[in-house]
Amino acid sequence: MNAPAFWEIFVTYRKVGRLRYLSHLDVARGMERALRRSGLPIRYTKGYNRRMRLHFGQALPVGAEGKAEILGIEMTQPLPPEEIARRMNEQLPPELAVTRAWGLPQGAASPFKALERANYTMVVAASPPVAREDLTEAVTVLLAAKEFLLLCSEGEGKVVDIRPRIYDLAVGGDGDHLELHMTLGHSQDNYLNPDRCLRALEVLMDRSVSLRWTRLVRTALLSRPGER
Amino acid sequence: MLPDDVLLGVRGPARYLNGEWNVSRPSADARIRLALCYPDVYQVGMGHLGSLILYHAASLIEGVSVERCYAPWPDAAEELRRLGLPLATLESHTPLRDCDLVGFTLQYELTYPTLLTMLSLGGIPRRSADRQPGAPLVIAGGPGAANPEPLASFIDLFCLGDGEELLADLLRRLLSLRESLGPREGWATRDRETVLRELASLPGVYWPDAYEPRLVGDLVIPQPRSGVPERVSARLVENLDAVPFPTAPPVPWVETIHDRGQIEIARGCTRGCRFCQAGMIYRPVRERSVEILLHQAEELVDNTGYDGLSLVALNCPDYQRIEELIGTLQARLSPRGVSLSLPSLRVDTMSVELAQRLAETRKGGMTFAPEAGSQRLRDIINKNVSEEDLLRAVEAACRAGWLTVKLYFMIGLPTEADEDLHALAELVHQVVRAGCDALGGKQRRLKVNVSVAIFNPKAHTPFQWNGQAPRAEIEAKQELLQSLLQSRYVKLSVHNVGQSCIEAVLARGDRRLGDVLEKAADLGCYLDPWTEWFDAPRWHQAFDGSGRTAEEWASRELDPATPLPWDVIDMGVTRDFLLRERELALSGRPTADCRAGSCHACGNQRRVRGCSGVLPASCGGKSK
Ligand code: SF4
Repeated sequence: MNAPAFWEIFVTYRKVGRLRYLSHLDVARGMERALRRSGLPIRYTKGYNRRMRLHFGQALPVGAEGKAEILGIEMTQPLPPEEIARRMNEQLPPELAVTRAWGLPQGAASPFKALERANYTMVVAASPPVAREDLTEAVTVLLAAKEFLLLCSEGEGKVVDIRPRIYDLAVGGDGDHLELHMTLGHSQDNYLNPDRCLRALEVLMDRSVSLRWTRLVRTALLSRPGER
Repeated sequence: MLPDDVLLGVRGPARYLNGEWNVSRPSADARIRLALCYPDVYQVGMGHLGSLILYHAASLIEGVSVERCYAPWPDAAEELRRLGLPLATLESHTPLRDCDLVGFTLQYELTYPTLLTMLSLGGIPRRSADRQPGAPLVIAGGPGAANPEPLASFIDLFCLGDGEELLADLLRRLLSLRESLGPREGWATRDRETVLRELASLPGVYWPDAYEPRLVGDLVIPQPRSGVPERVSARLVENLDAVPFPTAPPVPWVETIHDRGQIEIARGCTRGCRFCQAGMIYRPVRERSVEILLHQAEELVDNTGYDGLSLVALNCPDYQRIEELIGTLQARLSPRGVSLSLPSLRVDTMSVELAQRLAETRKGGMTFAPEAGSQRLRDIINKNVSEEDLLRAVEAACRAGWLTVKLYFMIGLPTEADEDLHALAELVHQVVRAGCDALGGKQRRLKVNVSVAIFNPKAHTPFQWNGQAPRAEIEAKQELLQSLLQSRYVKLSVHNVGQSCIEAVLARGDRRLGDVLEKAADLGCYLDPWTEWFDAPRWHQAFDGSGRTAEEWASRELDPATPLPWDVIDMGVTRDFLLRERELALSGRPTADCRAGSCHACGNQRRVRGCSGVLPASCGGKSK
């Protein structure tokens, strides 16, 4: 019996190890080249300057890892998802490998639409160093707040209430090793960049403390309950 | 190369990663480690086809590990210094000082201080004289080697002419030397001079230390010591079909300046523009056969996944079977989403037609290079383009839908006067009118971008005896053009006078310039081709004590009756020919392309028997 085949395939892939230094654009270009090498029947846009019809999710910052990023691929002929994954992986380094593939039944909504939250693990470095209790305190204050207005540069100086976009926030790690575990909004209109969350904590701590991450991993993308 | 926490803090960290697609793991038991270095950043170096060709040619030789190294951006260079880490190769992170052979490509004079700084960062003494036994051999090639003298104190051996066969010869000779000398320790204690002498006996290798610099008149001329030839002849690959070509080059993750696949359809040019060094030192024309090119193009796309392919030559439309090549390539590659481009076009309607067939969009603009504004001046520089050619080509481009026309000119050319600049401006205005007429209702969207470079006399060209126009003159010319080109359609951009001047000094410099270069590097001159990093006052300081200002070096007129510092290098064209061309230039007489039938005995008839200006693919030509 033939495996079920689909016109539109979604894959999850990782961006880990040394390839975490790639920008979103680097990843997109790299995926497109890998797909062209694979010889898979990818659909192109029409007209001048034809591009592959690929659908990427929210960008990961340069230096950040992703354990399960989503990429949508449109095909000119239906193929089984397993075959797509196998042929893509022949053309991708392990640090950018496809880990899962599934087909989108015709007429079904894109999985991007169902995305609601994303989980992050962040290793934090503070200068000057801060005590764990102080960071925990800031987290508690942020979570207790009804709203938290932050100037977000990308929205042309737009002020955004980030509080509703924080689903969960906790301090982890041990000793001097400070970690933050975050669950942040990840839908089109409720997205929060983990860097923003860190800026908010910075504001809450002390003006003279600067926080930055030395490791950042997007560990999972989560859909609304009831949707996959 | 850089530790993780540092990579997070520098600009564009992905360019420092090893292991792009198609890069194989370096073998641990290689007997020779070759570092191919490009004295500019990764994005520039990875776009250079010549370097990819050498990388491939060397990788075919068993026992050699070929690795790459690029200039780190200043923030990363600073981190290396701060952490005391040596500059290392991408592939195996081997510090340059631990490689056996370190090779640089000389594409542009302004990269020379960067080259010196890469040596220092890599832990290699900059001056050849200071290198101990066991230190890497430092070699260099490319067009800059046509006048090697400014770098002669830093480079152990120069490779002249076409590099792929020469580099392979060099590596094989080094491998057999290694065989006879035993393991690395034996190598290290070996008398450096013996090794250099051995390698310098290969055709096309210039060993500057074997030539004594002597002041003759006002120039330092290298004079052969015993056992080396009077002149060293550049290598020539006669049959491009017979040499290796990279169809599985490393695929960069980051965007490079030439972010597509490249196939080399021909090498060399015989049109004979008198200012053009490439057109003089790469003769005759060698073409690759259509059959091989089709094969290479498909392999390249299969192996890289590039969405674009450039056909590379000094002059693409002159390729004899260009129509056939493009037609077939397009039929095969277009269904795979791959676009073709021809970066070098002539000023004529045929070129526009070719571009029209290839371009999927009209976004990029159509480029023409008339080089000079008046017919008189174009005859002097032997740029065989008439006003009518240009206007017709512009008209054709605009009819075909292009809204942007780019024009390349040069100022400061020999005998140039204000009339010539007025003619230039008039020509631009005519282009605007022709473009507007052709565009009709869309004429308001016409853009004519005029780029004006500064004439730079180069070694081995008919203008090698001419000086560069002094700064004040150039600036006055630039201002005149600014005022003459006031138009809503025209955007004028002019080159940086300071950068051009340093380029000119080095292009015709002698061995004394080594001190200036070293001082410039010490003062922090680095990545000088980048206008943002070029620091004129530093350069000013670097020339202190050299007896002249940069401008004085650059504007020197040289005497055709006395020897030149680069006479020791034979690039194929003879001094006689260049002198004849100089005379013809001054009397305003053009010289036809020798491919049209008449040989001008440029000197290449000495190495290519029955030369007709072009060696068609796979015929190979008969050499003596
Ligand atoms: S030798 Fe004659 S035919 Fe050959 S390149 Fe020179 S001028 Fe042209």
